[in-house]
Amino acid sequence: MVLTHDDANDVLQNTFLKAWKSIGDFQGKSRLYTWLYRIAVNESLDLLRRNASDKKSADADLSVANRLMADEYFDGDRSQALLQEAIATLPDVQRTVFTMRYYDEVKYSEMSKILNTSEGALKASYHIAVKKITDYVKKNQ
Amino acid sequence: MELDEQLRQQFGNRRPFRVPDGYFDKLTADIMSSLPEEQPKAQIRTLGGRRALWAVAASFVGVILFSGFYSYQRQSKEDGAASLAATESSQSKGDAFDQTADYMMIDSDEMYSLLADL
Repeated sequence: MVLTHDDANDVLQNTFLKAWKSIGDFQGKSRLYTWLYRIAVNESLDLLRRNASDKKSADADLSVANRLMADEYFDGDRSQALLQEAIATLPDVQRTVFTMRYYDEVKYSEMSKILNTSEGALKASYHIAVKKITDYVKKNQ
Repeated sequence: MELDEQLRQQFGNRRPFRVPDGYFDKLTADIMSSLPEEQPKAQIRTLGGRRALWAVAASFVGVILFSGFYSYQRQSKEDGAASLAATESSQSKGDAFDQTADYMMIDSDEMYSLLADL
C-alpha cells in the first residue's frame, strides 16, 4: 500500500512494535496472522494519511509514476509505475481492498475478519476499485 | 472477461518492489533495539493476609501493656509522694516544738508541765 522502502520499513517496524505492546490484548479469537495483518493495515493507513497531509493536491499523485521510476527499489517498468499511480488515487478503503485482493489474493472471508467489513461491501469496493484503475490506466497511457 | 483479469494479463500481480540486500538479516536486531527497556518493577513488600492481622494484634497488645505499666508506675509514684508528704508533715511538727522549746530556753518536760497546768 505504501510506495517507498522507507515507508514500508516504518510500517513494518511499527507493526511489530505495536504487536509487542498489545500482545496482552490478543485474546486468540482470531488467528495471529489476522491480528497482525489488521495492525499492518492500520499502520499503513495511518502513514498514508500523515503523508497525505503533506501533499498539496491530486497533482502530487500524477508524479507517483515518475518518482517510482527514479526509486532504486522499484522493480517494474513504466506500465507498472502507472498502475501504482492509479492505485494511489483510490480512497483508503478501496486501495486496501484492491491491494489485498489483487496482489495477496486474500479471500473475502479472511479479508472480512481483517477489516471487520462484510464480504458484500468488500466485493463492491474491489469492483469499484478495478473499474477506477482500468479507466485511469486507459486515460493516462 | 472480468476487468481484474484484464489487469492481471496486462500488468501481472507481482508487486514491483524489491527488498534491499540483507534487509531481513538485520530486521530482528533493528526491531529489538526499538523496543522500550522494561523498567524493573519496584518490589514493594507488604504484609499480606495473616501476617498483617498478627502485626496489628501484637501492636494492640503492646499498647495495652505499655499503658497499663505506665499507669501502674504513675500510681506508685503518687502513693510514694503522699506518704513522703505525710512523713515530712509529722517531722515538721516535731521540729517546730523543739524550736519553740529552744527559743523559750525550756526543755520539753517543762513545756509539757506548763501545758498540763493550763
